[in-house]
Amino acid sequence: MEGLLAGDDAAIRALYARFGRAVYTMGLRLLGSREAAEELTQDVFLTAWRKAARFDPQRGRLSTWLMTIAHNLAVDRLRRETGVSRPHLVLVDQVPDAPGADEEYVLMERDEAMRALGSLSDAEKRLIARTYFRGMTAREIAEADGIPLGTVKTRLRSALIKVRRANEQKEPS
Amino acid sequence: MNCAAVRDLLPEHALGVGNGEVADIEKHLSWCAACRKEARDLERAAGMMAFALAPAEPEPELQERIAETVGEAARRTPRPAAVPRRGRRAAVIVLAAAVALAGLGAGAVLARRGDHAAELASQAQQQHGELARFRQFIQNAAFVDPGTEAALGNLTPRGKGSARGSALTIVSPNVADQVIVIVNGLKDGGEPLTVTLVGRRGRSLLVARIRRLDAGGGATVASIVKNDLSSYKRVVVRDAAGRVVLSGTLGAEAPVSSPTP
Repeated sequence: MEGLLAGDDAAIRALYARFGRAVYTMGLRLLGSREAAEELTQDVFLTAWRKAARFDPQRGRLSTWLMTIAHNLAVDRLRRETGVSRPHLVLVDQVPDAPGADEEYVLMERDEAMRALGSLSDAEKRLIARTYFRGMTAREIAEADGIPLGTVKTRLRSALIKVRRANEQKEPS
Repeated sequence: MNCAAVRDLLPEHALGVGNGEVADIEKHLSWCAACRKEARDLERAAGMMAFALAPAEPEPELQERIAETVGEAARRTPRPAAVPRRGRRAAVIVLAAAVALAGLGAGAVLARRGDHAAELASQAQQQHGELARFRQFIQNAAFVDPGTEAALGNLTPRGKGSARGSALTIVSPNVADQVIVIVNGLKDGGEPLTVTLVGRRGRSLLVARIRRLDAGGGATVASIVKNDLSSYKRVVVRDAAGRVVLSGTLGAEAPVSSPTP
């Protein structure tokens, strides 16, 4: 991280080599175009450089920190650009042989995601996708589906708990 | 906010689609271990979804462009190596500002006897100028960490009114972020007033309370906050009844205009 803070070329390239594809993937799958995905990737790495001093390894992994930045920026853009049609979401369990699916650097994270998806019903996957990948709030989903807000919140929590439990025994202590 | 209310919000908070209650939630989590554990569990679960998308392949040139862009940004604004946040140094900066700016309220008292609105406008301009100079000082001072960013904004009332204010946030890569707010011409009786910063997706953060206004309806408050203020762009001052009495945008510095009498 010190290399990133100093803007060291090798450190930036190393960080990109490790997580560039995952960040770009989030941009492409959520925003829908290569151009938007490249812009997002650039913004994520610039933000990471700006905030590098704030990264606290005791609070979480580097991958989680970086992907949270990517997710926040992507969802901000999704919510800002209303009315733009978005691509159909393709999840990793639908195309296990996609390029990069065996990427060594993020293998652990990808395994967790596969276990997470495997633990959810189709309805729960769709619910998580609408919030996490589409940026919809529980209220928006409740209104769109005509169901009580409390029900949506309960289902969201229950889905996240399932994801957590599916990975509980696999996490390093 | 009690545990039940916080728990109700935690799933959306973890999934990054909360509705602006971040400051309240984080405040609760700072002392409630049980809710904190629930929050971290849900956040960890939500974080796993980041890798649940089918991988896509970027153009090979993207790495080159990003290395160049970040490298260029770093050359323009070199940053020091990570060091722990040092509240004491931050306090010195804010204290220096508060002391320097506190004397700027005197004009408003005199203004009551003359052309109140014009005096307040002139005073607001003077205060804004002082904060602008202070911002410049912060960005150039040798003892301030390189990469420190300061954003300034005018505060105006929603409708007609002669109240005015200015706000300055100081975002540091290494020490706690800070905010300074000066107000003037506010009506008595609305205390305590609250100063809130509003950020992404309406997230709000209470940064200061104004418990007492001076005879000119003015006050200067300065706070050191543990949150990262870089994404907070709006400043809202509310009276005790929750009415917005002043608001403005940081970084969008319109000239201080004359208030409506």
